[in-house]
Amino acid sequence: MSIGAPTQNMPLRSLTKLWPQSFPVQVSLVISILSLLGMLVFAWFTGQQQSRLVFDATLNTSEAMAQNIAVDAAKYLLRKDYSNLEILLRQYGNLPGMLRLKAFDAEGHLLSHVVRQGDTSKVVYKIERVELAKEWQSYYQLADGQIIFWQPIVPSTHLLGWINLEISLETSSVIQRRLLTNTLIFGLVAAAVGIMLMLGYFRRPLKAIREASHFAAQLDQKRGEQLPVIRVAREFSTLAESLNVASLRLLEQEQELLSSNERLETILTYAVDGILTLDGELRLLSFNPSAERLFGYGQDYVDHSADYRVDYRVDHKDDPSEHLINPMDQSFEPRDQNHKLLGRKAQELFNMPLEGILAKHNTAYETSKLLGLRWDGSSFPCELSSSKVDLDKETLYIVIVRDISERVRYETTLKEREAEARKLALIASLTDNAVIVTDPQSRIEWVNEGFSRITGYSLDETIGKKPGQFLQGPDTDPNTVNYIRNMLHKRQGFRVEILNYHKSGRPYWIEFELQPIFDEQGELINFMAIESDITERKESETQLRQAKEYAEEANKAKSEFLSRMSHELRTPLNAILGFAQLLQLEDLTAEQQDDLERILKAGRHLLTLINEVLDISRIESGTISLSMEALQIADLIYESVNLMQASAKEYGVDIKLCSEPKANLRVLADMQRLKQIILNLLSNAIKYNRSGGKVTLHCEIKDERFYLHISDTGIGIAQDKFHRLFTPFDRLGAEQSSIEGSGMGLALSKRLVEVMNGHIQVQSYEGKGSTFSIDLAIEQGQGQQQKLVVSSFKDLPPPLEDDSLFKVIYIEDNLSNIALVKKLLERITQVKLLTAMEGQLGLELSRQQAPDLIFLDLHLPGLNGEEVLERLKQDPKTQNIPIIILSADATPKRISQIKEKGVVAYLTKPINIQELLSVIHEQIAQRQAALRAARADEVNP
Amino acid sequence: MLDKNILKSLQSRVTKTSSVLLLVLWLVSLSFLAKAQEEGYIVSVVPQFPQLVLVEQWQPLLDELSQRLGVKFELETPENIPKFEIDFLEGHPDFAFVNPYHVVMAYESQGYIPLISDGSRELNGILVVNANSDIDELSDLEGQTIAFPSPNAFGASLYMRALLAQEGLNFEPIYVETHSNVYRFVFLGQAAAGGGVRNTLSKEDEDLQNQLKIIYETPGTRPHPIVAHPRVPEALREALSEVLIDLYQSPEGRLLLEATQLNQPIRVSYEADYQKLDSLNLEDFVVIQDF
Repeated sequence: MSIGAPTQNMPLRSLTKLWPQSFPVQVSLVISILSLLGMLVFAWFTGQQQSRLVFDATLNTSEAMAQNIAVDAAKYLLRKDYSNLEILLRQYGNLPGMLRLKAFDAEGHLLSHVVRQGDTSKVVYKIERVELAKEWQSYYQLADGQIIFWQPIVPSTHLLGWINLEISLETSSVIQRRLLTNTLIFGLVAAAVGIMLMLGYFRRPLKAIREASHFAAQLDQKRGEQLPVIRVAREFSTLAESLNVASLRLLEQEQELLSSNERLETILTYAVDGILTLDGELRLLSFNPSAERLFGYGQDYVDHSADYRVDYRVDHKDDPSEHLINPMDQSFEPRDQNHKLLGRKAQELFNMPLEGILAKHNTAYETSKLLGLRWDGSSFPCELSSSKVDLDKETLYIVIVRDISERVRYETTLKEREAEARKLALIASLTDNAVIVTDPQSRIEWVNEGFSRITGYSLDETIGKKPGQFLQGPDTDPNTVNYIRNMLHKRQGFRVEILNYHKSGRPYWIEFELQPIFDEQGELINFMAIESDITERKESETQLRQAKEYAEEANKAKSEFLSRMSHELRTPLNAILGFAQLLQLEDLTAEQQDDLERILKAGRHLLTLINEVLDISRIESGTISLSMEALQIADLIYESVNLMQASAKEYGVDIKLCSEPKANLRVLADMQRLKQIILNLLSNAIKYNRSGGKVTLHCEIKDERFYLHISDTGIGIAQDKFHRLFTPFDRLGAEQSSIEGSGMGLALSKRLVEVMNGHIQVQSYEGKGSTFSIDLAIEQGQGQQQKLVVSSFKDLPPPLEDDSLFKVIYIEDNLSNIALVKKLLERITQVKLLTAMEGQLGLELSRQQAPDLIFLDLHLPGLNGEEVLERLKQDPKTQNIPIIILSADATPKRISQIKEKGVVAYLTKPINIQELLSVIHEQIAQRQAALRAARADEVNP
Repeated sequence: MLDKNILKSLQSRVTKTSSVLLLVLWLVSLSFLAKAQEEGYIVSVVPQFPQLVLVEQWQPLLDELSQRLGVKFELETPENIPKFEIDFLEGHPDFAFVNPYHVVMAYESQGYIPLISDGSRELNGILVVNANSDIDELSDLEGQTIAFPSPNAFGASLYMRALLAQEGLNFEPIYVETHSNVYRFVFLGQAAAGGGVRNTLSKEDEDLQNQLKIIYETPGTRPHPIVAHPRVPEALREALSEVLIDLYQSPEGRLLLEATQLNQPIRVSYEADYQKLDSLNLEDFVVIQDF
């Protein structure tokens, strides 16, 4: 179209642009459009025809219905039966399509009026009058999708009234729409089928045209390919055959053009080695694919892992591969992968100048080893050969580069292994340990000199033998031998200690570690064992064990000795203290009383001493049993101070409590033991004070611990004696003075505080006084409040109220104890004492006499006291008799054990007479109460 | 409010009584079987409503009764009240649903025995006029046309006319066959007033009711009963009464009963409930038409 074309042609031009250029598409489009247009016209015409038929049918139906209603309504109008008229209209009102029904009389008064509402009809009560038509003829009007039909009611010759119907045309229009839709769908389907059929017919010729067109367009690339000939019409066959001839001609010409040049190119392309072509200035002219790959310039070749620690110096006279250095020191700048090398100096690809190498190669067929440099800065070892080609005007170098990474790596590994093997052989021959290498059947292949030194056998004597055959002897543990066999069989490594025999017959201990050695295929090749002589270690272990056993036995003997001593010393002391106390009750002169007091004092001192020695030994043997509890420290301190007031007075010393402990503060300790410690410290503070001196107590809480400081104003302790302060029996020279003491108190206190997780410390200034401090853990929880009961002595029991005797049996083998108790009980007139010196006798006597009370010693010849107790409790005759244990065994564990068996009391020897008397008194009182109760029963049965 | 336990014991007593009753009924029904199989008992209903409406109202109840009693009941709905009256005066129906004065007529002519009526209401005759009219008092109707269903319809016509006559009102009665027609005549202005009863008016469309107003009402009487001809065996009469009373116990039964205006069935007798109508001297107003 020319530039000056009128603008009204523009839409036509754009339409032309939209029109498809392909002939097959044009044909398909034209067929489809024509078929669719035809079908639409047909459907419209048919729809119009059918709508008219439907409307006529609806009208006829309405007319028939109106006539029916008129006939039915006539009889009701005649009778003026309006309610039945209404029912009639309501029934017709339910018919489909009916909108409204009215019945009028001849004057036009509305008689009945029914309206359709949803699915049902409803009567409307409304007064209405209309002008009626003069003619008695039915007629209709069309309005708004309805037919309004008027029907006169004329049963005979005169008019009764009119029926008026409104019928919806909706149903008929629905039918019309459906008809039209159906026609259209049918038309479309028919059009589609027609289009398909036509396209089916035209498919092959259209395909032939399309293919021929494509073929002709690419004829230069077809290289003799043939177009399939589609025989639809003569024109198509001729076209295809002509194109095929043309294709064949073109191929022949192309093949002639292929030259031997290209074959050469192919060889270069597929060569394994890199081939570079350089000009006379050593600038790169060409690069084959292998060279690209080697230097990392290829598309998919980037190997960062390879980096070879080899320095190739071509100017070196020796073989360059011999010179191992660390090439990690060499670093090269990475280059851009896209960096163009063509035209640059080939020098950039290697780690040393090429001129010399190429010159050398020019004279002989030689290769050189050097490092190739990749684009990313990494390097690889390569072998380089070259040849020089002189052309007319220029010189070319052809350089062949071969990657020798694998070869170099193999050589390096081989050298490293050899060096390592040499080192190992050296170590094995020099070590003191024995090294044995056997074959898989554990026959010796090689032993080192260490082996010969330890066993006495030389290498020649042992080769081919199994070590077990000549090294083991009578005392070798067979279990260990079996274990070794088992592990060898399983081919597992192990470590054992075993007794072996020297060639001379001397036994020695070795520690023996064996490892199996496998080759790369996992096959067992050797066992290798290393043995070290541990005879000395074994001997010292044995000595240590024996020493430990001796120590344990000695300790046991010591404990037994202490236990015995406790009993043996306490028994006579019992007699001494007991009888002395009895004597005190007699009428004595003042002098005698004084002597007696000395005996008692000395006896109590001895008893304290024994107890303290026992305590210390128990602490040291770890057998002391403590009853740790949360106890109120305030009560304990007050009680201790009170107990010591008398003593303080005696010494003329004033005790003062400086800071009082908190009332509810509780510490974790054994009450009796803590009391013992405080009393001991107070006692020392009083005893070693000056007359008119002071003892002050000071309580403190620091770092969640309770501190009690007891200070005196005494002579103090010299600094150089501090280390002897807590040594048993060391009184630091006080033994020379008149102050009584055993030298055990501080030693025992220190140990007791420590077993209660506390500490004891001392500060002293000679001449000024000392301060002893103990600290204990504070109990934070709400522990049970411990009540301290201060024991009080009771008087002698009152005489029995009745005449009967209170019978007591004492089972005891020690005569002095019997005499003591006998003498004591003589003071209570109504008590009769029987004694038995053996357990069996005691049992029989108890059964026979049925006493009111039994005293029982635990340490008896023959049947011991515990057995006697058990039998007494088993026998129905004796099981209700109260039993009191009198024993020298004062260990708390023992006491609680025996108490569990149902004894009334457990009194320890030496016997405290007041205690014994109070127990007897209690028993007598109980029997009297029982008797009174029995008597009361007799009086009032 | 009744205690639940009392209710329960009442229920159980009712259940026991009804099971005994059912046994008796079954035995009785055996004896009716002969007649029932032949023709069935004719039940005629006073045509207060158009025939189609009457069938809708009564047929379900009669079907239920047939099933329960094992005898067949056939519904008859005469076209108008005069025809209905002729029927029972001649002793044609076995059972009839009649108005109170019909009871007197039927008793005196054939000895029909009243069995069951509605205990929930009284029968009141009403006089309605068009709600848009100026008529408010009886005196406004002097000389006017008044529609009645039929001369002998009790509350709507017979009793009403007697009372209007007592009031000294002169009017022109027209008889339009049914109560429904009476209300439509008044609505369409074809009569100045109309006689009906409250019960039938309440069954009309609410729109129609709103177009009418009541200006006069008769004193209440016992409403329509079901009467039985003396030839009907006494056992069946008794059984029918029991079943109707029993129907009231179930919701379904109550629906059947309400349709027939027997809302709450009670036993009635001529002497106690209807004989007093004799003293109203209505016989002067009775019209017997012969067809």
